[in-house]
Amino acid sequence: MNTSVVEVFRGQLKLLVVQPTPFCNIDCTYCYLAGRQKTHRLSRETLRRAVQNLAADNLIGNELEICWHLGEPLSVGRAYYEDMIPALEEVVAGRTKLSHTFQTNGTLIDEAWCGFFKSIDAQVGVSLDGPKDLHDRRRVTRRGEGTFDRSLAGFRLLREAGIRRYIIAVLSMEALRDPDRIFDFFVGIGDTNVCFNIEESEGIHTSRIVDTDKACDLARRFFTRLLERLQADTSGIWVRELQQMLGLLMTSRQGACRNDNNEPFRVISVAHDGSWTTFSPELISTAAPAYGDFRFGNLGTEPISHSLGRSRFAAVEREIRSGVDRCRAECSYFNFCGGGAPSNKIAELGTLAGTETMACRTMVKSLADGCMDFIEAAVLAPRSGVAGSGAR
Amino acid sequence: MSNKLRLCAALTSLGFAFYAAQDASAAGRNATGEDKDIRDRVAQLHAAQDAGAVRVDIVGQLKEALGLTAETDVAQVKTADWLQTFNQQFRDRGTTG
Repeated sequence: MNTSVVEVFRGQLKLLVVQPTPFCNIDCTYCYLAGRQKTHRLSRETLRRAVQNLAADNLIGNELEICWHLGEPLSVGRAYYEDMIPALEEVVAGRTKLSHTFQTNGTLIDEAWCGFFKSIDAQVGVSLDGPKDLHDRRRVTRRGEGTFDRSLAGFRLLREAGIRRYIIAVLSMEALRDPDRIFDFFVGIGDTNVCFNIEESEGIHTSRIVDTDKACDLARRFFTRLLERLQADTSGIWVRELQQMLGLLMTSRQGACRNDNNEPFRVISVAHDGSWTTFSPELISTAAPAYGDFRFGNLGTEPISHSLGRSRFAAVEREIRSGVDRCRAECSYFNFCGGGAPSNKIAELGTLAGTETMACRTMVKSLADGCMDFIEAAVLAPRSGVAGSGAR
Repeated sequence: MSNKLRLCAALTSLGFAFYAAQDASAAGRNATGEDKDIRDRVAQLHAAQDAGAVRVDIVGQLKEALGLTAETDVAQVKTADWLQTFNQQFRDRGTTG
């Protein structure tokens, strides 16, 4: 692969995931990132060169979202971003509209951070796993102390300041068993957009969900129950997975959805040393015996087109495509998924050419089944004493 | 098939409202889809929509995000448009994480 091949993807880059530091001030038991005790920082010059090199390959279009992630982004301090963000604006020189997202554990958010987020119209994702006992079981400091109070306080500051925000909640088996408690908790926070992930194997983490059949059964009921609760909800709570899957179910007769995890250069992740990967962002921190690591070059030193010929990119891309082709041929849920995620396949199956993972079963199949269970019961089943009204 | 549709599920924050005729199950299914292929289950829903027994409206913020000016059946939305709109709406409300 060379410049002409990268040219096929002209303007396709939508999300640049940037690791300002691998360091994290807490130590969640399910984290997929290696080296999160290391305090390295991505330098201003390396990031400038990275964006210049992406531009040199014409991968950047009119808009680009930058997600500061892959470590605790607030641990580097506000001054870091007050230096970095103008440097980025200088590089794109008005040709590309940049937007910024911070994925944080929320523990370091204070009023000054809120002021900064407001000043750049950033949106902020806070990791919060639900009620205190569930959150504090997994999201702990290096001394094993829970972080719930600090994370929730951070989220509330964002809310008071009117910062665009959302919550990422990792669901354990305990959480899946009690959808009403989870729903009530997030409704109680108020004005909430929630994204659910079920604990999965990625990077250096192996999921502790050992009974996949049980997890799937619980997940299916969990999502159905959330939809039932949403019927009567007036809080405005929004659940990413439910909205996306309902839309895909409704439109699936037109074909399969597109999955950015399986296409190169829609998402590019840059580590603190300038090395880069594409496909799933989690691959930046992944290595596997059959592949080595998944860092295909260094954007701090050269454009992607220069490094592709020397890297394993072509072989990796071929294997990912092979896996997606098998998913298309074998899986009845393909239209709602687009072929799974390479990060899950490598962590669970040891190969990118594989097909079904636990993540497929819990977050695609059980989700789709749970949504259809709801639709069939609420819409298609014979109605006696049906909720709702309004003949039209 | 009755043309009179009744609201049977309103998921306002998600942007969907489901309407169905009293006899929608004749075009759809009348039991839960345990162990049935998901494609058959979804095809039953689409068949009910095509038969006029079920209508799924896009409402609220999602309707605005899609730029719809009137009640529009979700069947008229293309998958690609849906994903693009969903992703844009997600960027407006949250982001990939």
